[in-house]
Amino acid sequence: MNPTSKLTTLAAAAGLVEPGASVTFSGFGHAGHPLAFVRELIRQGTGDLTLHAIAECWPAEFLVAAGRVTRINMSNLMFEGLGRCRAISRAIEQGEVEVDDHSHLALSLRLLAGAWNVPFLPLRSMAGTDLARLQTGVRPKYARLPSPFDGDEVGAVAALRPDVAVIHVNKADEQGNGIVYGAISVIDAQVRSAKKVVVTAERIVSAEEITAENQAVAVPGIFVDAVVHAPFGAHPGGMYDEYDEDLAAMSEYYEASRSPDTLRDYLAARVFAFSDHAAYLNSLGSRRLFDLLADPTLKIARSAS
Amino acid sequence: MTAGFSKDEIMAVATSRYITDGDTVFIGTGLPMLAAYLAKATHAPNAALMFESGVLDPRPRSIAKAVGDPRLVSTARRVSGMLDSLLMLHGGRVDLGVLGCAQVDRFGNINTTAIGSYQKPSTRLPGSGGANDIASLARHHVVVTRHNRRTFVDKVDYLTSPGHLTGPGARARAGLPGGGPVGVVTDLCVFGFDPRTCEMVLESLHPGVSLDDVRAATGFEVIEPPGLGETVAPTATELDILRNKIDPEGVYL
Repeated sequence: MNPTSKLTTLAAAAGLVEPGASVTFSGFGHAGHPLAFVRELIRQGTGDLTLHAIAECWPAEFLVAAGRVTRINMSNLMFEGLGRCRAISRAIEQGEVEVDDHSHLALSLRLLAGAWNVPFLPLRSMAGTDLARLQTGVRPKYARLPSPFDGDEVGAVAALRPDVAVIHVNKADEQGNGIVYGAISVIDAQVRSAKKVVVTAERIVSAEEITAENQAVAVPGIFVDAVVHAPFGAHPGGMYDEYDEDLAAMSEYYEASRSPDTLRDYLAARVFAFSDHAAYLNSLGSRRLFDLLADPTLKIARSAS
Repeated sequence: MTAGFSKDEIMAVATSRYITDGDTVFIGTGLPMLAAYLAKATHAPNAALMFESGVLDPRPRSIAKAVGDPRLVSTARRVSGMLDSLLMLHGGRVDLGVLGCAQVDRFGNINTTAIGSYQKPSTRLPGSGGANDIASLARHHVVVTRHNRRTFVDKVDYLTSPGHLTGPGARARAGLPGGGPVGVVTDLCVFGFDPRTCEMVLESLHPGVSLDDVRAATGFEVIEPPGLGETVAPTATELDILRNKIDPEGVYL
């Protein structure tokens, strides 16, 4: 008997995120963000979301731009080389989105504590600063306690269990065992702490192909609930060892993010205009996508080297 | 341009001089990256660079535009993830961190979170990222920033990353393991920190800059130390390496 396939559609997978859910996404800098999934989630209208956002600037910015986010537990959201995430900044400045700030390590360890099923993990950073002092969350994020072994005081951060983690990978088998080339950011902790995990993959491959590189499996299939084939699923960002970020498409968004009106137009033209991801890719055209493909040796597009 | 070099160039050169050969240096993109590459190309060939993305010891063929840039990932000696790199930092394995800021006070405390109130800021900034971890945990760190009264303030609106907090002994009382900031490099001058007060103290003025220029751009009292010197200007070799080898496309310069 063959194991059951978890392969499904983007629409069905996005349906796993319920209104009011807490979500965490892969992605760092301008690469590895599951943006095909995010566009589908926006089309479905799912709102009142809480984000546990470490470095997933693009999913967070798109979802806030669409008005789908209520709270963000965050450590750093910005567009490297471009500037501030304008929709997020504006929403916080106008009090539309509540935030609770962390250091990168603090938020990563909160997820790891959730993954390990322990109530907290010790942490030496954040001490003495407003990151520790100002706590706006429903539950406290940071406390100090004596070590049970020598009595020395140490900081601690509380465990987080996101409802859903959405991770974009280079390739996965039908059971969701996913390989990610390059840096994995925090997906190890995200996958293990979340109650449900969606994997979107550039390529769906055989179990044998995954086994041949089993040291590179960053997402163990045992955690995964849904697997979706999403080629160019990180566009307009890039995906390491697959394709560069689409600088023109990123700039188009960044310009549009200057005002709520132009943002609305952008979402209408680049998200709501398409019934699915295939229609989105069709609108870009194969020539444009081809030009983004990374050289297998240099790992960047030939046009960018 | 003044006297044959730009503000960014003297900032990169002055920052590179904090890096000692053999150091493990935790950095981000922009000027800190230029400074680190320059140090590796000159006096510190054995310095290893570490990035929060999980990139360790890269030797990129061309200048990286981001911390997660394929140019870094594909030339690193090791690639892992954020928990791996930040827990190496947590373990005390990083000699020097290099940080930017939106606001800094006389103790070197940094704000990169919010201008105005936290819950409804006039300007929301990107947040800590790894900066608080670096400022808390690296053996020492250096701050690199443009110099004006909006940045050099009496009190930061939000304390994101710790300098010397409220003064002598404050970091130890808070439980912070790292030694805190040892320098602040700006486009006007270089500050050190007085070991007795933990306050910023002027170390050198860049060529062509006066003490009054610094005072006019600083929101707290600037004390003139005895024997105030001039920042050593970038050498022709340093400028050649920066302009022609490290950033010939002018991504940052």
